[in-house]
Amino acid sequence: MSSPLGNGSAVVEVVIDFDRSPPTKVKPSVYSALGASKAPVRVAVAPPDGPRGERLRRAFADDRRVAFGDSPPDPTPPYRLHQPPELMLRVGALDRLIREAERDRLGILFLACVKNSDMHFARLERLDALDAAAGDLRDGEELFDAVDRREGTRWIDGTDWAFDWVERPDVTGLHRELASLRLAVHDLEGRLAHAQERARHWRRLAEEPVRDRAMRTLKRRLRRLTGGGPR
Amino acid sequence: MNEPIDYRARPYCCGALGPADPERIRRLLADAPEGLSAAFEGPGAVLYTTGAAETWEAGPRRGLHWSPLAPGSGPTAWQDAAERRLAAGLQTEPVPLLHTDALGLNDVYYRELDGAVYFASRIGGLLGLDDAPLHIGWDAWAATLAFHAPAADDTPFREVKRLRAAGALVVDDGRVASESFEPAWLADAGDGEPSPGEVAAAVAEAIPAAPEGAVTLSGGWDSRLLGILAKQRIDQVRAWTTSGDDGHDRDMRYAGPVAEALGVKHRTLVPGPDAWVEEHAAVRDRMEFQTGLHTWMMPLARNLHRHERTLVDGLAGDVMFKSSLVGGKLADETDGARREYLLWKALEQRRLRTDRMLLPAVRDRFAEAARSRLGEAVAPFIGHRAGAMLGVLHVRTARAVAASGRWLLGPELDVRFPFAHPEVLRLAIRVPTAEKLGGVFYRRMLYAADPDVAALPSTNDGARLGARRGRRQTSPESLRTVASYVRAAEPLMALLTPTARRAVKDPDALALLASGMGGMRTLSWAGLFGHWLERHQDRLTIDEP
Repeated sequence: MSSPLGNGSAVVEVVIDFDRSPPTKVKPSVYSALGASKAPVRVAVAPPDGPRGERLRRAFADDRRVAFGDSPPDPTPPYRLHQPPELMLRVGALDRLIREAERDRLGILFLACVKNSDMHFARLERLDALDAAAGDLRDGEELFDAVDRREGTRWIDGTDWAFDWVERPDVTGLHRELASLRLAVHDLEGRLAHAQERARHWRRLAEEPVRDRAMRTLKRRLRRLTGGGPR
Repeated sequence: MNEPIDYRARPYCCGALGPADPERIRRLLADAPEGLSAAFEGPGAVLYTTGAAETWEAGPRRGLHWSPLAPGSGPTAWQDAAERRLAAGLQTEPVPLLHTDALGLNDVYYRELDGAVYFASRIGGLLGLDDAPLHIGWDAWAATLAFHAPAADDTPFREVKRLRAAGALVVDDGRVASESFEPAWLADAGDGEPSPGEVAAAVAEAIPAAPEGAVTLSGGWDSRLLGILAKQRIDQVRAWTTSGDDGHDRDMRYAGPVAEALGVKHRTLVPGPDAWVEEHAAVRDRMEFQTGLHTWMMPLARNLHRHERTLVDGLAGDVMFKSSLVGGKLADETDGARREYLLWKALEQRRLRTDRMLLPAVRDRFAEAARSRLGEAVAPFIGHRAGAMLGVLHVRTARAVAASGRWLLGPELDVRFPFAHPEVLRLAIRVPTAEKLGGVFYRRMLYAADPDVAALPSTNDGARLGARRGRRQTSPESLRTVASYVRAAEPLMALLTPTARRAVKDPDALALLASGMGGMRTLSWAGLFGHWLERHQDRLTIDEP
């Protein structure tokens, strides 16, 4: 897939699992992922069926960098970041994570984000490392353990390195405020137009010479006497 | 091997109801502690105890009761023993009947086998009744993650049940039947709102007069109020303080000035940095893995076992008079179903809702199970205007919090819970929640008892807390220990996401998880569950949740 920015194929695919999060939390995640790197990014969202998923599809319908469903990217980017929708990537975070993974040729960079009583995991996968580990699984071994054995994995603090937490905005309140401001603007525009019209009228009267005004009045009366106009 | 429990202040009891099998009775006695003797042997019931069980008689009714939590005269019926004396017991006539107390603080575990009921003070006393495999009580483990302890009649084993508050069992015509009654405090209309002085006097009255005794003094209000009141009832009071391993250690700072103001001898005990690693197995064995709380208390408990006989504990004071966990919205809710939902949120505290370590399907199943068991536990009283407070008392206080007093301090010590007294509970129900919120009523109660002590700083003052530091339970060695239990338990690992399974194998991941409550909740629970699975692996048949 070519990048809409014209910078070639995507270097990293960010996979956001919609889970049960409201679209208000998913959108900031998607926007942040799109702007988190100088390198081309593809964002894959797995939305649920129904109106919530449909709203999200519509919101990003014009952006070819955002994909929905399971359609795999072509060509496959070298890195994939799995993250929950409650987190927003900071600007430059993806580049930083990829640099860290590349420096030591890590298979997976795990991120743990802990805030008070809440916690999230994310992980950056080097996909060729995962493929290789999948083909070299020992009896009873798990994929991530095989990646660790072959390529190495590392755990880092996700809040320090990459993510901010999506705070739920008061959307209803903002809409209400916007509606009242629009009403106020409409009212003020009406009053302004009325005042401008009156000003134009008085200016015209003030600027008209007395002889011209007297001529106009005489012409109007003459038309009435000859029956040619309104009384 | 851990030291055996010494039942010197509270007895171990076991026995059977109905057509008991002699071989099973033999096994029941073989698994009981030393010093057991027959307290009652009749055709429909047998009871063995390590200490004296008091007998009662009223008309055609007779019975025995043990471990009364409230002082008073002899009961006249099993309901009276359960409510007024808060005791467990066995009615022997006219019909054999086994009961616990009306608040469910006394542990009475039982198993039904071939039409008979076998019971004991400990779950472990019932596991050897037969050689059949036992099963994981998944609902209990879900509730332990959500509320810190199983709810309703659940225990970690599906086959073993715990008698519910105000509940009883009777074997009639070869069939086991449950009975229960409504404690009078639910029907009490009351004589208006009690004054703080009246409540303090009632709490004082619940402390038995004695020549000497001890209080565990923290930095909070419950223990300092009891310190003031204990001085009125006990000639020589000693106060003990330890570090609660909460990463703030304000108890150690605040308790000293309180003890000085009270004029009592004060001893502090600071556990070593490895105390969690050293003590966790003993604590879990004593509490039979039913809660992951309280490990910090064990070094103090060992000292108290050596030096004291009677101890006054502030169990339930904050729930009853500070409306702990019950905010204004929950207290004001009049619809029973809505109240139950808000109570679920208050008790669960997002432990399951924000969990990221369990597979989503497991998390959903656990949330559903824990909520259903909570509903079962609070059904008898959730419609009452004090239903939310009673819910916290029955679910969190009785099952999770009381375990330290019952099984770490006791049964070696005679532990008294003056707040958990029928008269004090009656008064607590009459105090409007609006007055309890924010500690308004409690401050007045403290002031009425002793204005000088009331003025000293406390952990209830609402000061902002900084970051937690130096917790023994999150030291690298403690985390290694926790993770080793999780990794070794295959049925438990199968419940975790692949990322969480990788996390418990990596020391850096464990340190990151331990940096906040959100990371530690499921990990701690998993450590407890894994340890239990290891302990009972020979007897368990593993099924899916």
